[in-house]
Amino acid sequence: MQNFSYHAPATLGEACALMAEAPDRSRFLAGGSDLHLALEHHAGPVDTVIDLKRIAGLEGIEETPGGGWRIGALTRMAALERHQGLRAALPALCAAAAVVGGPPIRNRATLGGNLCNASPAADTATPLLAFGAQVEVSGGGVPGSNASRTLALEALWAGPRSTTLRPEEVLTAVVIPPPPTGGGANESTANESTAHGNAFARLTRSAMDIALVNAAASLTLDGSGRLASLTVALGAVGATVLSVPGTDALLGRPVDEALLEDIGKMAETAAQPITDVRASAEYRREMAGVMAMRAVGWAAAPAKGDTP
Amino acid sequence: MTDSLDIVGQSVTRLELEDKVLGVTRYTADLKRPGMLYAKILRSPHPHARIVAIDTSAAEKAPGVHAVLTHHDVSSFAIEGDLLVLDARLRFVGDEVAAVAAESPAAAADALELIRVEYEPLPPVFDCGAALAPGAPELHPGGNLVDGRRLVVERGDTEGAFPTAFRVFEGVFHTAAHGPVGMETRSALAEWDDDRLTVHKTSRSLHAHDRKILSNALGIPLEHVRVICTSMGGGFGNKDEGRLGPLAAFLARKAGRPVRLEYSRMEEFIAGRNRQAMVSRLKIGVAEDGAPVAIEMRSEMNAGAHVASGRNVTRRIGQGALYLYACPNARFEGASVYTNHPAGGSFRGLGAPAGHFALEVLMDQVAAGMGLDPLEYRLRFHVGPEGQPGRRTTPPGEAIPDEPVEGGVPFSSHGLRECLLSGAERIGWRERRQPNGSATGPSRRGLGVAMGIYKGGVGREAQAEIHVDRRGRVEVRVGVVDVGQGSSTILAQIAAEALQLPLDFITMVMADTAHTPPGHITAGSSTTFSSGHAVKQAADTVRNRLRERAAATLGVSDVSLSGGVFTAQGREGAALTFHQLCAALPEPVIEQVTLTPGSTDRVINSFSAHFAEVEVEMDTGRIRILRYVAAQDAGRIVNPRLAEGQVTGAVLQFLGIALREELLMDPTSGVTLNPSFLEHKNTAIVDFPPVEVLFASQPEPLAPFGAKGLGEPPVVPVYAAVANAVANATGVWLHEAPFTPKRVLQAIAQQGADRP
Ligand SMILES: Cc1cc2nc3c(=O)[nH]c(=O)nc-3n(C[C@H](O)[C@H](O)[C@H](O)COP(=O)(O)OP(=O)(O)OC[C@H]3O[C@@H](n4cnc5c(N)ncnc54)[C@H](O)[C@@H]3O)c2cc1C
Repeated sequence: MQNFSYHAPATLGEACALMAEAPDRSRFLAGGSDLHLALEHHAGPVDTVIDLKRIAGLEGIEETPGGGWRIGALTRMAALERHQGLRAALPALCAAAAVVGGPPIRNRATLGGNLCNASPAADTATPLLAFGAQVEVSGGGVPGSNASRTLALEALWAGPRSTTLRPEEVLTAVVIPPPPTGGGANESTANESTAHGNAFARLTRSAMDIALVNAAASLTLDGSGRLASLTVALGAVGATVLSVPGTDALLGRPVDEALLEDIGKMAETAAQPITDVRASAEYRREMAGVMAMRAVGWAAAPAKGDTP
Repeated sequence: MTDSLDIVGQSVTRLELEDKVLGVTRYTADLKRPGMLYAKILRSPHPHARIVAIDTSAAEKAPGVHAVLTHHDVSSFAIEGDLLVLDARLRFVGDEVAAVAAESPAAAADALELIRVEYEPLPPVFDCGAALAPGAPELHPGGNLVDGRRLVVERGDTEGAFPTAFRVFEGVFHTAAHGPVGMETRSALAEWDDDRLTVHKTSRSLHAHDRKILSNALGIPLEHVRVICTSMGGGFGNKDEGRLGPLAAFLARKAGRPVRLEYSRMEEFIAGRNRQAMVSRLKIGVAEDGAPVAIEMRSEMNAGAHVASGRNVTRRIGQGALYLYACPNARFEGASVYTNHPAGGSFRGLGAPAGHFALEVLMDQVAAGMGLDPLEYRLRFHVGPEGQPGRRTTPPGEAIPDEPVEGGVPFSSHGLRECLLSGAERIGWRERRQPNGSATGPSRRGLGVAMGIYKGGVGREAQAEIHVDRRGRVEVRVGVVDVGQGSSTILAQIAAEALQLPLDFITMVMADTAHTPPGHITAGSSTTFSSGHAVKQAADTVRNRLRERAAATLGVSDVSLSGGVFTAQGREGAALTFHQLCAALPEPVIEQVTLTPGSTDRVINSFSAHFAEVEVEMDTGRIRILRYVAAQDAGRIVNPRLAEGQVTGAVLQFLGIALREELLMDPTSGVTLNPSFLEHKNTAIVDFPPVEVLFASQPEPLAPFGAKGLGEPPVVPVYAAVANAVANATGVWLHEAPFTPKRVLQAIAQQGADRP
């Protein structure tokens, strides 16, 4: 590995200012589980590493009024996977966090790192996209930089391993909106006993592996068990994590075999996989359908009162 | 004496365990010397090329560089017949072009980039068919068919027998190339003292191979070469005797300083010796009752750039087809073919797992076709203790060959049936196995069985030396390497048992040519049998001599020996401790034994019967192993805990190989595409259930304390046990390994799952 100077500033302002000095030869460091390998294999010359872990206020999980969530960018996978409130409300996110690497990796790896690394196989990205999450980023007051801003998660990624952030910008938090009330499709049932569910499904070669395909679903069922909202996201089958378009057309239908078949076909169509040494494009496409069906089926099971 | 054993049969703690657990054990790559240099290798970017010119002047002048080695600097000695220390002809992407020794690994790596090579690319050839076609580029003089011929082994007359068969079953079976991935990568440290050479290296054969190769390659007398293997971090029969040692030694000689060469993980995958791809065409003819009447297997192994011990690998593909079922007519034909793949070599079980995959899956298809339960089929038709039908052709008294193909030669011991019965009972075959698996719907479950037959008592020339000195130190010196399988502990137990001394009286001295008598290669599961024989015989002699001395000292005609104390027979109270006796020795007691064990009229084989229970996800093609029972016949078990570890490790290793491990090569450039742990996907321990291990009870009469070989036999049936369980679950036969989800889905799509 190359030699570099290491900085651990105490404020966001210092971190961003340091980065602004030599943006092409500097990198932010969170848990380091991606950065370490990048420095060894493909990062290009890097001589400055700026650690974000000493900056106060970037870590933590809190529920916001109305049932949304705000999660600090430096929050580790281990904290996500163990958080009781999160497990009840967003099992898809906890399930995704719980399969990132093994326990030592999950004790280091952060949510912000997973998103900023911009791998299309990033496991937590898929449920967050299904939730319609947003990210807060800050340029730390560096002259010429953006002020703090909020952008939709999908606007964070430019392509594989590439984000739309300015070099000095730090991702500070992920904001997950409250689940939709499900009023859109069917006004009359909006206020009746709606139920929310979400789930994450993933396919790998062995117990410890990067996803060949992952899928997340977030849905609302109305009082009669019909879909009042549905979003499905897929990972590792495109240049970025992607949403399955057109799921609104399924609203009003019950979650049954026929619906799952349709979801499977829509996911296969949405997927834009490549062939690599892990799997062929053809197999990935087929599995995108299977994983989407699983995620939707599992998301609906607790919403319907079944156990998945 | 063997009726009541004190130490053989006990799960004593393996000798080097504490050091390994504490991280104190020193592996070759941990060794350092003052002034030591680090070596790096320049590797070929072409699958097939000739070096036209090579300019090392800039590299030689680079900071910290002390030696650069090319094919101009080495002798013309061929290491394994077809392998020069460095060669102007390059035969795979990753082949060794040149080597650099420098003061740091980084300086050596930087210097590699300064070597200018002019290559003349030659047409490559990657698959066996193309390599054997007329006009194919020849990789070695004499052509691409190794030895210029196919190996043929035959009993009876298969050609005549097939037309008489009631039914004939056929199948083609493929297994893929994969990396054996010992945790320790290959490494060698060479140092010269004047004209004497010492090499530490990862090794399985320092007397029988490394020392001779170094002596020949460097042109120095054998006595001037010392080879040591401190500790092995994963052997599996795979740490070869190729270029590693000579390259380090030539560099050290040129630089005038010690040189250590250590492979990176990527080099280990590309330039270590891999298990090569094999294909077998199998044909089984059966009588009306299902009895096999003719078995014919034709196999090809893609040997890669150099064959090394690959001939034996190919030979073992035929093992099961020739021996596992009683069958009067059997024929095996095997070809090893040179291609521009990375070089292959030996690995645990040689070709036997691939051959058994073909045989045991097709036998399940036979059983299904004949309407017989696969367990019943095997119980009826497996080879019995009497050996194959027919008459012995080797004259009596004359040693039968290592692997007699002829009939009429009985097994010395035979626990196959016991394994089948005990394994079936453990997994609950009769109660739980349903002809069509045990579930319908998206996840299906099934049970499968497969047997294995393998060499269990390879008689290699073996030597052992025992020294007992006046301080009571008992040294057992054996020249073989403990490659991690625990042979030092096993040989110590054998010595202690025969000497009738406590185990902690024994000091094992191994794997150093300066302090041990010549030893055989650690291969073919032969150490317990061959070196064990030598150790036991030496220990028997030493014990008798010590007892005679003790009796004389005590003035009685005989003494008993227990717990390190000689007690006079028939004279109350008279006793002498072992250390008292030793202190009075006029000179050390030394016994040296050389022998070649084995039999002139019996076959010594180890047997297996494995049972797998799997679950198959019909929508993803994923196979999960739910339960695995491995019943092994290895004669008497010297150390049950170590033996269970061997079997468990063997099964887990091959479950990974059966399910996912595969080295992929770009079919046009010859570049290995996944030489890393991230992409050559190995098994994680959480992927598998614990392996349930059972042992047959019968000791082997011709083996030391009755112990047969166990290192390789438990890998042999694994592919087939899994494939047969998948077939039971889904109705789909797998003929191509590894059984990746994609291949499983393809098989389901092609063959159609026979149940909803
Ligand atoms: C053995 C192993 C197994 C793994 N398994 C998985 C897996 O199963 N699933 C999976 O999704 N990932 C996996 N990963 C990848 C990795 O662990 C995750 O992507 C992790 O979440 C990265 O977080 P980190 O805190 O370690 O990021 P770092 O490595 O510290 O940073 C990653 C990148 O993001 C940038 N960055 C980090 N934080 C911020 C921020 N707040 N603002 C701006 N830029 C930032 C860094 O500069 C760097 O470029 C694995 C990694 C390893 C080594």
